[in-house]
Amino acid sequence: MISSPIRLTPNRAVLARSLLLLCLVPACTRAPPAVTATLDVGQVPLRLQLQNLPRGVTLHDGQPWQEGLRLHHVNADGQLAPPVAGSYHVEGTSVEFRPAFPLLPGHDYQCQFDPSAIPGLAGLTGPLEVQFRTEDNREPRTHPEVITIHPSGDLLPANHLKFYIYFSEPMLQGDIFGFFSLFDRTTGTPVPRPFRHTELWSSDERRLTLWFHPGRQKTGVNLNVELGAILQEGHEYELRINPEWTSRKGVPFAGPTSKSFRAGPPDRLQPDPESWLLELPTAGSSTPLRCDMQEPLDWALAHRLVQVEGPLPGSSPLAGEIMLVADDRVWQLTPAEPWRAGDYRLAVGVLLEDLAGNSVARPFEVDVTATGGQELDSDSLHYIHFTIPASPEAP
Amino acid sequence: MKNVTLTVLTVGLLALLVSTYPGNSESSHAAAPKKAAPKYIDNVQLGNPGFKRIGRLGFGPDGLLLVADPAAAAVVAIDTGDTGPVRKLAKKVTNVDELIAGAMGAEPGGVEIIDMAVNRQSGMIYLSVQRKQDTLYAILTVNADGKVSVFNLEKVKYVTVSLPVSEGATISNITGVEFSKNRVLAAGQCSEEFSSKIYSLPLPLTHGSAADVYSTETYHVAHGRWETKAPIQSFVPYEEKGKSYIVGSFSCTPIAKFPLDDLKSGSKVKGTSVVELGSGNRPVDMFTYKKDGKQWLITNTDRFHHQKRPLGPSRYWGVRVDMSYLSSDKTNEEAARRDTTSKSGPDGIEVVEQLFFAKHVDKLSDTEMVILRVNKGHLDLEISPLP
Repeated sequence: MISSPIRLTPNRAVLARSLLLLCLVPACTRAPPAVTATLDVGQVPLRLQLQNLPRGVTLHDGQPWQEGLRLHHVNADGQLAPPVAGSYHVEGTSVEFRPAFPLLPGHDYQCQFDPSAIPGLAGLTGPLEVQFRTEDNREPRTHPEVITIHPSGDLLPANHLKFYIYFSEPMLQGDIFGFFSLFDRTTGTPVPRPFRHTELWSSDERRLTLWFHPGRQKTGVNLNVELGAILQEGHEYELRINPEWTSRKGVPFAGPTSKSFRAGPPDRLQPDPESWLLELPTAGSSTPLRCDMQEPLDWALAHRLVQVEGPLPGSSPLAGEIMLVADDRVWQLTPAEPWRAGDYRLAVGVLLEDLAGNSVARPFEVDVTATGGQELDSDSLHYIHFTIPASPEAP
Repeated sequence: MKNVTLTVLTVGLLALLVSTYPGNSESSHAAAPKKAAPKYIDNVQLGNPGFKRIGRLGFGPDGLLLVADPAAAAVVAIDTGDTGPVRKLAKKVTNVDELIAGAMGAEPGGVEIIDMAVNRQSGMIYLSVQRKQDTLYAILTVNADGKVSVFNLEKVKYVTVSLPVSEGATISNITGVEFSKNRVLAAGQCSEEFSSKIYSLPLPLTHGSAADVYSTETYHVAHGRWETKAPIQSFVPYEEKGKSYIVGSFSCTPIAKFPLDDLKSGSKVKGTSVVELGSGNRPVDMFTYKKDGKQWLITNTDRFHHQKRPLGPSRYWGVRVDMSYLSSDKTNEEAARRDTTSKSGPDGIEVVEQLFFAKHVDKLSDTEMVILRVNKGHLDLEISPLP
């Protein structure tokens, strides 16, 4: 299973050892040795040890240990969950139970032994229960934070599509959309059900892509027809994150998080790299190459689909740090090594989109009944050539 | 005679422990197959597939369990050896979510059931589950007696096939993995683009291979006019008159049929919506079955507009659709105004009352389905007759 071991520290772990002695004291006869049962829950596997079993009573794997030896999760109200799954192994007079998964750190469990469930043991000794708490060895429980939300600007098109939200640590996943809301500050009312309910997390589980429901942003699609678009041009909005949402460690935000923005006119035009303006660095410097894209573009796609190649004729991507600045309108590359004089090209993947989903290749919505319009192949690249001249100071 | 019972309870210290949890379990399924599925898998590995995440499930013949691993952008096929005979769930299992949470050492509510698949050859029900606190993923089974067991992944026969993505891009979600006549199909979604890739995994599934990309983009055309990218939310392979199709539903709920035979790798898939279920629905599962000489499609949906605009008693509901209706090249506009108070119509689309509150559904046979049903905040597992 996908898991890592859990440790119990000596001071938090509990060794519970119960001894049940059953003494039969018939008159004028010597009492047989008492049967003792011991539950050791201080380590995994948990162990039941029986001693002084009468002759002829043996333990073996074929006995119904799933009924006789159980481990339960105990919640904060003291309620027991159904039994933990795991495997049993009998060796001599001891029975080991190994949970199928690591026990959760910082949780209470109860181990129970019921001899009446094991043929041959009934009546020899009484039931046992031992409750213990696993060590809470998790990292310090700091409040999670929203590091950044893109687009970073405060003016978004009325047909805006998605936000990228970066968190300081992985958040608790599953049914997260109740923690998000969109408030129309112009009307003073919440916007009903604006989000697409599909959790899309990055591989490091720190970036969430939060989509407005595209069904309301698409012309002619049922949600759009029935409810209209999510954003109204000219209205002020607040994207809110409920602070009760917790990190995976179970810690809520320190306070509410929100992003304010105003809805501008809808954007139905494709990004046009031909109109982009380059601000060239000088040879020998490490100052960034800046590209004004004339409008904020999709933050994640601009990182993935735009790169510098060169000096030509080499076509490998130039190493460096890509950033979007000026409210995600300016793309810039700070090279890992100082710029060398020569010819370069900015390679733009045509799937690069603006905030409304219009890509270099095609508009977000295409009227198939209209004539004209040409769609680019999704794998193609648009090139912007530029030259960094040699400077007298440059090597 | 006098019985004397002396109880001594000692609670004290104890030692540091390091657990290894091999998961070897009587309660787990044995890895040794009764009947292998070698003709469907090649370069078979023995061991733990090493899942990063466990998502959607599907079943092929001969006990071949298909598991989507969206974090690894891969499909893993496991030869479970679970080949029957059929022993279907004998009676309803109430609060199965509590049994699952307990089995995973968590409190009720501490786990999320991601998907459910039924092995039609054995009746065994497979569930992919995430323990929330530590995002531990697992597969659990429910047998005919309603017993919940952990499917032991430590020593299984498996193959892993990757789903290629463009450089720098990642799949954030695999919305379906299904066995078809001569291939396995998978649909993947990216978090940065509003579209799906449809993958074809040719048989035999070969460990270490990469799937073919059937389509780079999926499109949806609304009302014959507005064409937009649209991700596939769920799908089912479908054969009709010797031709292969995908019947898929988009995030915006229309159901469409795509021909597969004519597609070449890398081509675009355009689906014209032919059935609308009404706005605000998110289709979850799909399957087809035959009855009275007809092919029907079952799909359950999560209506996220339920609170404001309820269509029935639950946000979870479902329909069956006459598959011949999907041959239509026009959108059924009436279906968009679905009225659940009307049992049938329009035109071969019927609300299935058994699917009210159904969070997941899968086919058991042409006469029965397995439903994971919401019941007062918990989940019940039961068999229900197909309409």
